[in-house]
Amino acid sequence: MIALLLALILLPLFPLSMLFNAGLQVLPVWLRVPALVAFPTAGAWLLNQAAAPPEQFILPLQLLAAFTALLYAWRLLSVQEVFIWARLQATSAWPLVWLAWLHGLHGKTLVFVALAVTVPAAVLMVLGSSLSHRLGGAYLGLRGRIGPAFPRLTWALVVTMLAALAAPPFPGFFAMLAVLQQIPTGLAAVVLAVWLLWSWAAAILWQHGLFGKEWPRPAGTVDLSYGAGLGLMLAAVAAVLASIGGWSWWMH
Amino acid sequence: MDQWVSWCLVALPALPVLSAIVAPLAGSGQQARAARLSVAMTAVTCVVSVALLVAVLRAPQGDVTVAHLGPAALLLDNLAVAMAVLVSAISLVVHVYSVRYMADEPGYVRFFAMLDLMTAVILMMVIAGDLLTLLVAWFLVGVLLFFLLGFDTSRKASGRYALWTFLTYRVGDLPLVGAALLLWHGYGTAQLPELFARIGADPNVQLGGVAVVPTAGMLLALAAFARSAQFLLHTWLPYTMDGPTPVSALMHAGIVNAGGFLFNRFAPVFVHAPDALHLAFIVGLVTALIGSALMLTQNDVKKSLGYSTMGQMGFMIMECGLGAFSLAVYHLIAHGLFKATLFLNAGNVIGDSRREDGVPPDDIYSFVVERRPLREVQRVPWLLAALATVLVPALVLGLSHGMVAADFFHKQGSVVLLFFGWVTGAQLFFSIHKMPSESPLRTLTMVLLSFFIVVVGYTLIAHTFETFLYPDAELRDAIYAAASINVLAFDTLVVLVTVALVGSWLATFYAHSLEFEGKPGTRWNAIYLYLYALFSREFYVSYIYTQLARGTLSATKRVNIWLRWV
Repeated sequence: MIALLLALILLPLFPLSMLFNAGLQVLPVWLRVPALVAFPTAGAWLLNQAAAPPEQFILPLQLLAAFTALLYAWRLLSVQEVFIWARLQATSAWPLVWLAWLHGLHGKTLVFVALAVTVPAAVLMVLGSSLSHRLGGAYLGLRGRIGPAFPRLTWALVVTMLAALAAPPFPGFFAMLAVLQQIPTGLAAVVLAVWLLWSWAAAILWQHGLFGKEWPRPAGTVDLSYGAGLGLMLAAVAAVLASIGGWSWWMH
Repeated sequence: MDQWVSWCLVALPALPVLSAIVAPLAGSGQQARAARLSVAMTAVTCVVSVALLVAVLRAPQGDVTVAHLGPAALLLDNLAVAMAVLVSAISLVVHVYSVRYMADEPGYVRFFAMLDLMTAVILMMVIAGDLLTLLVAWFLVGVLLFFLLGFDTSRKASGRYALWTFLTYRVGDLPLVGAALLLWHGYGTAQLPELFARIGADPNVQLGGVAVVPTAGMLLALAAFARSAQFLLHTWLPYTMDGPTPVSALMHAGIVNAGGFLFNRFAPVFVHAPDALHLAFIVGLVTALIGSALMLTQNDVKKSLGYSTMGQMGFMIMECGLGAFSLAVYHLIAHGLFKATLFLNAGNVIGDSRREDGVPPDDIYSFVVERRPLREVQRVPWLLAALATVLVPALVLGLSHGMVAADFFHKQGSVVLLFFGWVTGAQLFFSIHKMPSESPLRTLTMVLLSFFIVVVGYTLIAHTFETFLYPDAELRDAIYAAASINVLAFDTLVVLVTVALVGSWLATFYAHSLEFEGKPGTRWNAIYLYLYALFSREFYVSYIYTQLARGTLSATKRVNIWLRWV
């Protein structure tokens, strides 16, 4: 029971999720990223250790998880600040780990699911910090598109958001399928709706950041270095390859 | 089949992916070289698909090859190879066209890389041999289309319309995910040939009280509706013209047809899901009628072309609903070719219009579009025209189909399609009665001969194509049988459609003399104006969606502020 309660703090459901988000917001940026990865991973590990909750708690937990996932995914639609986007998206993804666990997903797969839906949000935090450093804030859509001034940073942002919205062949896609395979039809509809809301929210953010008049002017601004760009690209390739490996393992 | 066939099958999606990686690297600083490389790789892909077609034609009937590219299973059957040839050929034309058309655009190399990736995922989709590969490819088409349609990032509008398309595609992806998971759970395999064999052996599997195959059939139909712009999921299509012209050509010629492909790929599922086919018939019919009506009422040429595609897609889905699956593929190939030609020729038309102002005088145009009465000229005698109108299409269509397949008229779907053919033919002959001509009898004879050649040629090709796509006669008949409805409902439907079609056809012809507009100030005139507004505003569907989206966004803003963004 203690493991379960600790998991509720590390993989928070509403209203604990609000506390968690408030905590993340006040942390310095360099601490947000490890916290974002470590907490849910530890939460998934604790769930693996925990015994199944008493029968009377299963339905309320499922309903709470479904509500949290939908609420945070829906709230994501109006977010234009990358830091807020990343943590709200991750908060809407964590209840899916709960749903999968409540329906019998255990072991390494559960930790893989938690990591696959969280790591892109952590990378977004890094990129948000990079944007903030260049623009004075990680807010998109205030003036216009950032592509011409920061092409490599824009590419990194787009690719990371693709991973965050669980597009194939990123690990999140296979994590979503693993969750969907586990849960009953009614909950599957909720998970599919959450998936759709992520895509909608990502497309809105792209619309704000990728389209419109050019801003800021290229002169006087510095894009991501080639080294950082290459590092991010290699990380994405590694994630895709790992994901394809996971896919292969899962299929057979 | 031989080992080289498996290699070619793997190479089919791998070559464009390789091109997408190599061309930008090789063309660093030299854009033209990147484009040339991309075109060359697409040409090789096209050759590979033709080689696969030859292999399929030489192989024993119904022989299927499965190859593996990493974890993805790739399937080579008659449907896959027909689609692969179409996709790679259209992609090659679009690539060649883009070399000069896009030359002055910023992001020229990026454009070719994305075009290559799009070609790869469409090819992956048509040769997918398992549910997961199909899902991955299906999903990626939507993602890549977003970036291709939004290629011109300097315009906010292209981002807005790319978002609509992306969102509609995602709405369509979800039922496909549901269908895939249901079939996978229900039958314990994701490999398509194995899955279809198990469905054939036991189509009545239940999962938690849900009949797997009919439910999966319904979900697959929904996925096809979103991809092929069926009514209520169509609003993205007419607004995608902000993308570059080559992308419009590729989209209207290839991507939007994926709904028809999905019906054909899952034909063994639809055999046991008659309700999904009936729904497809109704949705397709409504889409065909609304798409065609909106095409005629729009004053924006590009939107009009978009609605023309919507009408064609409606007809294609309706064909699936009637059980004429192979005809839907034939239709999508024919539509793909002519629509790609139209889009790629759009620049020439604009150029011509700039050089020579005004629309060339044309009797059909003045009569149908401008609603001006034709000048008094000699006409075909009334009785001869009436006989030709009613009898000739029925005789030519009936005899040609009867000769090709004796059992043709036992299938309800065929009868409905014949009926549509007859109405179209009758309309053609009736038009001749109204057309001015120096020698009306000679014109009538020429049209009669052309009609005969077109119908007989079409019938023969369609029948040969059906035998090619579905060599198994039992499956062919089973699809038609699944699409059938009871006789009373069928007869009522035919009578209703006849009345609607003939009524609207006569109304169009006599629009001028009937004075539909009515006198200004009268109630009839008010109704006419309301109807006009309804059509010109595209039934307010986009408007309603926009308002709903805005309402949702403003509600989330309020809740976020209330919850302090945590």
